[in-house]
Amino acid sequence: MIEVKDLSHSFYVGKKNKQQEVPVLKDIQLSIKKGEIVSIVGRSGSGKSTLLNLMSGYIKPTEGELFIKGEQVTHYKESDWADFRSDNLGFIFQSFQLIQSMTAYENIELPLVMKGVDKRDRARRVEEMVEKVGLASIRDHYPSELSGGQQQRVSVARALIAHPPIILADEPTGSLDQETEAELLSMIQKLNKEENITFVIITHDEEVAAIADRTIRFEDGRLRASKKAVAR
Amino acid sequence: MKWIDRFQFIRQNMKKNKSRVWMTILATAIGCAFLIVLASIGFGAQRFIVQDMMQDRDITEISIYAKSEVEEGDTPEITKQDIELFKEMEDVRTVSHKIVIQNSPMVHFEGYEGQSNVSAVDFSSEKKSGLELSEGRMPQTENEVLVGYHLNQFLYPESADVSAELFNEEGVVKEEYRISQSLLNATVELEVEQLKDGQQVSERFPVTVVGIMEPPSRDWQKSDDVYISEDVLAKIEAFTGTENGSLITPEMSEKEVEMLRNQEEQRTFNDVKVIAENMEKVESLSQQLKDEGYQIYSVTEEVDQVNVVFAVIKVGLIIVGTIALLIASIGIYNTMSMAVTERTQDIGIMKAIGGHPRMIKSIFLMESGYIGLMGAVAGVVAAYLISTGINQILPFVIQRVFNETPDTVIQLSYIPPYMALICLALSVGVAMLSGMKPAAKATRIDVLRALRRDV
Repeated sequence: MIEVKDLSHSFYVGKKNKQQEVPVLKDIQLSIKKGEIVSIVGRSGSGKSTLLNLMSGYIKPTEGELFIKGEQVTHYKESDWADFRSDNLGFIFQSFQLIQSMTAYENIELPLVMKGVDKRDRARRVEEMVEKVGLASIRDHYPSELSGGQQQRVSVARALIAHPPIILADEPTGSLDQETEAELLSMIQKLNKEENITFVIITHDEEVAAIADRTIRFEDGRLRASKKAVAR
Repeated sequence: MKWIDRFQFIRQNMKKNKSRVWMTILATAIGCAFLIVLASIGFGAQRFIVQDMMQDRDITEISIYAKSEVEEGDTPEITKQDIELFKEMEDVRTVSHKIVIQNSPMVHFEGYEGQSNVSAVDFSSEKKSGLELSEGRMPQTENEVLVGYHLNQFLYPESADVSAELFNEEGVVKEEYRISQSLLNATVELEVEQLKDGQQVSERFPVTVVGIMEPPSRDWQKSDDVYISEDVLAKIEAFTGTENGSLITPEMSEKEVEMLRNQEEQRTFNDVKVIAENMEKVESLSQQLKDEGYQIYSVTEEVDQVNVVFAVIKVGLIIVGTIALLIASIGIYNTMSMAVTERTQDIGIMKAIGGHPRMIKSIFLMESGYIGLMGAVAGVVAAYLISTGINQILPFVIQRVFNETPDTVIQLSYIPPYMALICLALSVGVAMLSGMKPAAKATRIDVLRALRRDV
């Protein structure tokens, strides 16, 4: 599903004429299969978020190649990435990233609106999703009127609404309490089983890593180990 | 993203900062109204002046006064030969002309009488040249005539003593002496005098009034015309023995009398008008007539000059007005830039989850275009109201300031519908141009920065 080949990435810091190269990722080789839950762990600054940003198309790699669903996406232009994200990727963020002026319902609907889905079809799909993630009672609430757990559920619903085959999650439980975290993790497991969605999750949390089929550890921009989970 | 969804999205965004959006719309409306009102004064003044110039003239009409250069023994006035020449020219629809009876004939009708201005005309040419009747029909037989709209106001009782008291300050008979009935379908008599064998004799020619002409275009003009056929003219000439029914007076020398009697070949025509096929032909025809050596006048020449002057004035006014619109466009630019800055995070989120840069750009362009459109619509409505107000108030202002009552309706401000449409298009165009840079900025927003994530 996702193939990372010889991927390296550096940032350039400092004043324009005195820029210094700071390597973040070095020669990453990684293969993620369809329907896998992969957790990426590592210390801050180890490069795990950078890898996710590269997979999202938010930044371009300095070297190497990236294949998603068999497509060479390394040199995609911004507009190609926009179409690709819209069709194939769902995103869950640590700080939820909901549009504050939109209700929960409108936030969930947004990916479908941007894809140009018919209004009636949209309504049906959003209603179904709202029921599925248990947001029916707060559908007309604005993000500021929701708890962290509720906001994250809205965020998950938004990520799932367009049925993407891959979900990229950056610290999805980082802003949640233990109970809500457990709820979210069971939801991820359920979706993975029922709809065979591939999850790539960045986390610090051992609980999250525990539900993954595989945990990848990053250290100083290098992939140190890939550990299979024993039991789920 | 569907257009309807984009539109709803824009409306939702605009609601977030209503007062700022309304102020921008207001600025655009003021700019737009200012532009239209300024231009409308140019259009209105031009229309008023051109209409005034053309009030009693047809645009296709070329008046011919005389020949500019004549050989010895020839008359500078227009003769039968000239009329024939005009008729043969290309692009001439008709030639209208009059032969004025040089006799001041009296009109008699049922005990009333009055002097009139009798001319012989060719009714078919007159009709072609646009002669309008207020009542009745065009003459068909030789004794049928047309009379001027005010002729009955010139008739007074035969028994009355002709003095200044009979007439009012407008030069027509006072109402108490006037004939009450209409002259339409009445048989009136035209009395023509002549000096024969030293005796003043007269003869009456009965004619039937079948039509009454439209009143002259100017309020102060009174028409006492009687249009007779050339057959009646022939009868009058047979009685007077002179060309055009010219009156012989006792003071005339024999030589002069002889000249009047032998004008057969020298019949002259008054009020000669060549009517061109259409407006476009007037210029070429005028030039042709000038080349042939005639003194002419056509209203188009004057109208052309006036139009050139007003074109310059209008361009000036429109430039000044456009400056107002440009100032409004700075407001739109400002509003849109602030909207982009305020919505940076929203734009980042949209881009992060699959929003296309083109779609984001179009949303901001549409938003600025929408502000421009709303402003322009409000501006056009305001401009029409102001224009109507100016036209309503103007007569009062003239009365107050100059102590004069205008006799015609003055329309100082006139907005041609295409002007309103141009202004709408201009306003939306300028608004979208102002929105270009902020929209481009929106598409360049960096997703990671917008999401405030560490790279």
